[in-house]
Amino acid sequence: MAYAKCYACHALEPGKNDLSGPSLHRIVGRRIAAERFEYSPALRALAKRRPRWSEALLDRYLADPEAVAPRTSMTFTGMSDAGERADLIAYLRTAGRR
Amino acid sequence: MSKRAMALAALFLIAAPACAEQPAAPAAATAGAMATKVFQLPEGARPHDVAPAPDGKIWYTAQRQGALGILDPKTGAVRQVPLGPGSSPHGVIQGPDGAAWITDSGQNAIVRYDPKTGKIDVWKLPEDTGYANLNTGAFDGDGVHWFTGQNGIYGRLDPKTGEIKVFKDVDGRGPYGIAATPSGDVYYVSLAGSHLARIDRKTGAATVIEPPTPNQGARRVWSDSKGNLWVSEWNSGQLSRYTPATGTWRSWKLPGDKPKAYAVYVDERDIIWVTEWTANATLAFDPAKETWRSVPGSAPGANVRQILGRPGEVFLPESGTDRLMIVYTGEGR
Repeated sequence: MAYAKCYACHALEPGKNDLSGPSLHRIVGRRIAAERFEYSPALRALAKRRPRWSEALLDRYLADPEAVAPRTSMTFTGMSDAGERADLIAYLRTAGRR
Repeated sequence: MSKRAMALAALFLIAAPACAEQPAAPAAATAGAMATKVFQLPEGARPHDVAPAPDGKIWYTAQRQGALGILDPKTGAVRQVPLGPGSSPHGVIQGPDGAAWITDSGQNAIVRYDPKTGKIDVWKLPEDTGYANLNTGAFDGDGVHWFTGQNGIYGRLDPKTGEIKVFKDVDGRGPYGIAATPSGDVYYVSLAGSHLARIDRKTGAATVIEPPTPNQGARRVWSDSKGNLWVSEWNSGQLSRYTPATGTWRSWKLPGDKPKAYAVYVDERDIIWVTEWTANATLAFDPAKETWRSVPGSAPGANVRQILGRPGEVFLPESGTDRLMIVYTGEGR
């Protein structure tokens, strides 16, 4: 499933931010760069431009992280399949309710 | 595809002030001078890992562009070899056969590039492995290629037969750096699992070796000439050494405020190189003197994720600037 591509660096449990990336708990609709995590300058800059992770913004970010947050330190290079991105966002929306 | 990218050219002399001599405690970087040269790579390449190639060239993984990069430091010429559909290469090493061996997370495969013929071979992981998030590889003393996958696996590929076996790490997500000792044994570390593990080359079983610092975030590992394992600890900001002969550990906190240790490499003089992201620098640690020297990134946010080299040279791929820095250590030139 699509979340496997996030799994190594992102937990779904709330507050678990000791992996390479921040927790994705309730990421859909969440404020950008708001976890207790040392975000890159790229993500902090994005947070100034866009307050929250809307589904549309998440979709664009997952498709091409560099295009949305230039110089992001996340090494994931993108998910080209729109269906896969939709599945992932749907999963993250569901996982966030747990 | 051939692209000529020229070096930023200048030879920089690196000097950092101050010194401290307290072992195993935060220390400032000592004064020193090392020549460096910086090469511009294709924009957007995001070079992740690097390795010495034959004929004095240097390989790097162009992670965002799905290619193996080949830099000729004599001329600054760069070309990139596409590795296949969906490629997103993470690690590269030179195998005993002189070929580039690449851990390609995008293709979920081990990829071999033959520099003599240009031939590319791809070994996909077994279907039931799922997405492994392949990370880094190392050859053991028998010529078997071992690799890690951050989604919780490690494995082996026998180049003679093409057979791949995949094993599950005891802690699940996290297997990251991997390295072989001079005797040919293989160890890997788990970033999320915060452990070192020794692989039994015959059975494939991994024995976990717990570092003394809990939740230290062991990200990469390298061996010195005596077979001691040096571990860069992302969460704790420490550089740690495990001595297999005695089963003992020793740790040194990196200099500076809230250091984050990413990559580690031991050069031919047993000087330990470690990248420190908070200070945007690479540090050279002399374990005999317990002193540090600092090489700043070529620009803010250099984000050096791996280090390798050859006698007299240390390679620093700057994933954040699309550059590759060579540090000339004064040996072997």
